[in-house]
Amino acid sequence: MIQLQNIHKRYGDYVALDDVSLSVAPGELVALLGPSGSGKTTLLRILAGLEAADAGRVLLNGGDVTALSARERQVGFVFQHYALFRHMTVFDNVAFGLTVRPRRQRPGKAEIAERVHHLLAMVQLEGLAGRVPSQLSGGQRQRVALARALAIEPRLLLLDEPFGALDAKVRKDLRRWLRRLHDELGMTGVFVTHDQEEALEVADRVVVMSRGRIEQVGSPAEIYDHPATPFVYQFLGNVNRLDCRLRDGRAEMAGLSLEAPGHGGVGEVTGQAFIRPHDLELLPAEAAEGAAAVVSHVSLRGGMARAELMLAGRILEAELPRPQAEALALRAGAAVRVRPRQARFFLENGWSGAEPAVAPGYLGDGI
Amino acid sequence: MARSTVLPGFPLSLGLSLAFLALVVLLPLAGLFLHAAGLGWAGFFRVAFAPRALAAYGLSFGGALLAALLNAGAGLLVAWVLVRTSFPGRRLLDALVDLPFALPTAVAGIALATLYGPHGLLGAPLLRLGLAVAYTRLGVVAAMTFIGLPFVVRTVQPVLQDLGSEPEEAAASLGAGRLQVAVRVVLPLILPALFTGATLAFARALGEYGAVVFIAGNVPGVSEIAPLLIATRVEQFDIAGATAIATVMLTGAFLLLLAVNMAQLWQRRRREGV
Amino acid sequence: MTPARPSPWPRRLLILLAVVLLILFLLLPLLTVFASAFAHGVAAYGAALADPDALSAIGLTLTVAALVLPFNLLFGLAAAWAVAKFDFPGKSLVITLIDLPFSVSPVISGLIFLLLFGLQGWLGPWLAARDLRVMFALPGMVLVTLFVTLPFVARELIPLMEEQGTEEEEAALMLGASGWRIFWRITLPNVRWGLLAGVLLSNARAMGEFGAVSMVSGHILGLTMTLPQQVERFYNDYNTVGAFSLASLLALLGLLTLVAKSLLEKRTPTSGA
Repeated sequence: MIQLQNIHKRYGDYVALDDVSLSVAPGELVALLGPSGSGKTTLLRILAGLEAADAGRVLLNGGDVTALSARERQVGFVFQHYALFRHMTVFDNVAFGLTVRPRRQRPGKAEIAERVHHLLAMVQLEGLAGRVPSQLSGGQRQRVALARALAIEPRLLLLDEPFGALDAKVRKDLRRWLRRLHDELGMTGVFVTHDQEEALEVADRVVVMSRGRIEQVGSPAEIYDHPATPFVYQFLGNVNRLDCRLRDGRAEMAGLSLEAPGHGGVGEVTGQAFIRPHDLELLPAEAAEGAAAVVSHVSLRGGMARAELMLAGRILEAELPRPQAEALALRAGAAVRVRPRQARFFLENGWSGAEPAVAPGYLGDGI
Repeated sequence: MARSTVLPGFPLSLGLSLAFLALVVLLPLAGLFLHAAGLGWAGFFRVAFAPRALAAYGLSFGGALLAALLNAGAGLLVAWVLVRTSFPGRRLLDALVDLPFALPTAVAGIALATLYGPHGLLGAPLLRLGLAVAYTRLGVVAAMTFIGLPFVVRTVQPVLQDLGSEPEEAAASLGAGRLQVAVRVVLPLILPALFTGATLAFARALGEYGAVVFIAGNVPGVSEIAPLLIATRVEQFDIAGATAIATVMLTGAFLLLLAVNMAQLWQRRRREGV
Repeated sequence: MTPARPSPWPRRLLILLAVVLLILFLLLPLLTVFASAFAHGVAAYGAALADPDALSAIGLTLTVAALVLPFNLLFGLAAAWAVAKFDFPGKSLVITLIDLPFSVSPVISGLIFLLLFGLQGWLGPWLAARDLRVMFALPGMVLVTLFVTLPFVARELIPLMEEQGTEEEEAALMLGASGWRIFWRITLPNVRWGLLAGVLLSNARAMGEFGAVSMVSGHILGLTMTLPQQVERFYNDYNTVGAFSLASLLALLGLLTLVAKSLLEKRTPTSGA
């Protein structure tokens, strides 16, 4: 069990963390997700003891470790660029944490060798014990760093942008592999990432951060389906953002309109509407419903087509299955009609559309 | 990359460094200024700005300036040739540039004095052309140029290297002639580095002693550099005179370097501000 | 070759100009040293080096360099660790101070120690009363040499350590290593070649320093004459072969240092693992 209580951190005038509290359950794998400058790495480093918080407490398994140095916390840390000791072999890197223990607690040479080989087997690097870091690929270095961190039998494993420096293919494999490894070891882990796909795929729970504050904490599904703030909505996946106006339970935005049943407010309120690209439905130009738009660009990716639309002087993005796109004969310059299936509103009166607004007759209109 | 706040050893290492700097560098330097202050204004001015001293400053600052200008030209040429062309022996030539760094100053001094001397390999033919180098002001400038050349080459070279040949090729593709490319594209891009290199060469030449004294002739008021005058004063047990002249030299050099740094900072700000 | 390239001649002319310039202006002085040293044959060269004054100058030069070295090492490592691994207010001032000796004329470097320890200086009378000789003796020569060579190791190490960052040290810390152990097992091995380069450079300067040392050595023959001082003495005594024979040793030292430095710079691992 890890608890961060009311953590504050500033660098000069810059507020890196503003009253952040978070707890992580034993065995959980948590992602700190946010853009650069959101404070996620600072939070991780405070957890590790590599930075000191200006105020707040860090509790590890119930004990207050705020005053403990990084050296004493027994926390495993995998650095973004791995920080492998470049002049040591893979074996010596992994063994380092054991060999620097005080003499009384230090395992014997044979035991160290056995444990290092066990760890190297676990990260599938048995044959490479004698190599130096410069002879390894990025993915191999990453796994050495992980084995090295695990060698001290940490109470907690921290990873800073664990896949950031790898190319796309290796990244995907390692992601799946890390998830499996975590499930096998059952260790509590926290990792930092700016990649929402990575966070949603690997973590049990995602903490979305922005400008030194936590925006939302939840399971990947909660975060994606029910973003709590406009920031989370925009940060997770593509989204169309439109100025909107709500009156008498109807929302109007750039010529589009939707029912907003949850909004019982009186009078007129303005705000912003968020619509996912796959929630924009495209109809033939002669359809009676929706608003008229012009396709400005179409791109294909896998089974999906992505269309850029001009609607009343604004650019919207829509996503639809390729057969549908072909049926509509989508191409640049074509005229279509567009209608939102659902949208999420964040209004100036504070109403944030707890239930997504739904277009009439949309339910069951599955893709 | 953020510097660490958790690594141990900061108080020890900083304390040790500051103790060294205070004892070995600051205390002795402060001693010079305190000693100079002890002379009183009138006494200080009398020795610091005596005619012989004024002539020495003139030669030191003027010679160093001339040497820096010569080095700016020659250094630019050498740097360009080393970066942009390839020919057999280029690497050897590149290594040759560091020679003045490698030769101890007294060695350079006697070598230059011999080479440019009346019977020297270069001195004899030059003398026949009516050009006396050794034991004249020309010799001072020659020695100052010798020790300053690597500063310009080694400052300009990496900048030219980083630049790549793309800007030159781009300008050429836009129809610029060779001279236009050099003057309007390459020169402005490397001017800051050239300026820095020339400044370093100037500072080095200004204070240089060993490489210059052997070739300089050391005629008071004519070919006597300021560092030599300081040494002479000390030999004559005129500590006050040496102190005053040293104070002027040191202050002059610092003010000049400060002005150069400010100019560079100002220029950088202006360029980034636009 | 790109098609329709303009005439190669201007380029060739510039190359020729640079080559001639470097040969006449830089290479010839070096050749002069060796040519003059061997002007009267190898036997004369050997005899010049075997001269008792020459031998004692060599011995003193080695002694001074050896005494300065540990201080340079200590300061260089401490300063580089503080400046490269930590942020603190006044850091750029400290860096400026480290570089300061490079911008002080050697003669002035010698003078300031004379002012401090000489008979007319602050500590002079006190030292004289206790019969302690600093000026015109070994301690003074070691002190000015230290002043002149102080920046070398730090300047070689600071950029290297800054580039290597602090991640490896932090990783060692997270694995439970103590400060000393981090220094000995992580930092020192990572900068060893740079450290060696810095030591070689400061050593070459220590052995070759002329102006600063000549201000405080007192030129006592056979006692406080280092190699460069002895070169000057021989040269002024019109003992050209003697002067250039000793000079050739110093030139050789400089050349070897240069070669070693360029080799070491190639060895230093730059990109992190």
